[in-house]
Amino acid sequence: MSFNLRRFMIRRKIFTVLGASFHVYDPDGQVVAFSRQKAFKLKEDIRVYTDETKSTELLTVLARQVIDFSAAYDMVDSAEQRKIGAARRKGWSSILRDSWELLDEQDQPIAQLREDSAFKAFLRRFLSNLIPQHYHLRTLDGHDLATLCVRFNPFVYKLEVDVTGDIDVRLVLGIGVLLAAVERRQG
Amino acid sequence: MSVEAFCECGHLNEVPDTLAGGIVNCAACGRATQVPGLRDHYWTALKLAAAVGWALVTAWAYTAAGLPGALIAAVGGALALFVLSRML
Ligand SMILES: [Zn+2]
Repeated sequence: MSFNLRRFMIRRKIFTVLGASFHVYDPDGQVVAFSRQKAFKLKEDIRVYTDETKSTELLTVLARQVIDFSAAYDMVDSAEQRKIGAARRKGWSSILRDSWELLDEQDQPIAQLREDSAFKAFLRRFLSNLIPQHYHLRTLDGHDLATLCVRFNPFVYKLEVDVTGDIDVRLVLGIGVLLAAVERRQG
Repeated sequence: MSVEAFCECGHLNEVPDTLAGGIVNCAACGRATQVPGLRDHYWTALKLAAAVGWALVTAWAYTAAGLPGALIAAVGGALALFVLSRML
């Protein structure tokens, strides 16, 4: 079983004691995936399941290094037991404006994800999360592939994802879960 | 530089060290295969050092505060080791 939705929403409760959990909803509000981030983990290891029973695993997102400034995360389709690609956070440019690269299974860049505007990104750094984040995923030559929008709410993190271009939606799910897990912590 | 990643099928994959600690698809069978991390041996050494430290502190607590002291040190140390092993 593979994830194949082109529109979905990732919801994360902000206040959890041990490790965060995420739910992924389809446009009708049905849960289509569930993930729990392991507590105390220095090396990020995120498993995404079809539901809260965690009986069927969809996707694994695994950090390559424990501490890594330009962190790279490999994504594996759990059913196929195959790496489908990776996401790499661009450390230096992300200081001012979140910036990621999506890599194919050969580790070659295929797309980039950036916060919408450098000015808003700058304001967000100082006004916490009062200004919601918008990300654009584009091919290397600038064609739109997907948008990812954070809806502001002090208690719940919601990331709405809309895939519009020709890209493996499992990679978009993976980077969405990473944004919810990693950017929240670093933000 | 390259790193060697052994697949369950027996194939030895030589991959660039940028993939160290990550995953690569085996060139022979296509299966997702773990690539050893460049710093893995540091973490193993750290865990071993923590285990030795735990034993030493427990022994010291026994001589200084008897059985109750040793018990507290043993339980506290076991907890710390558990958290450390989860983190790394
Ligand atoms: Zn193999």
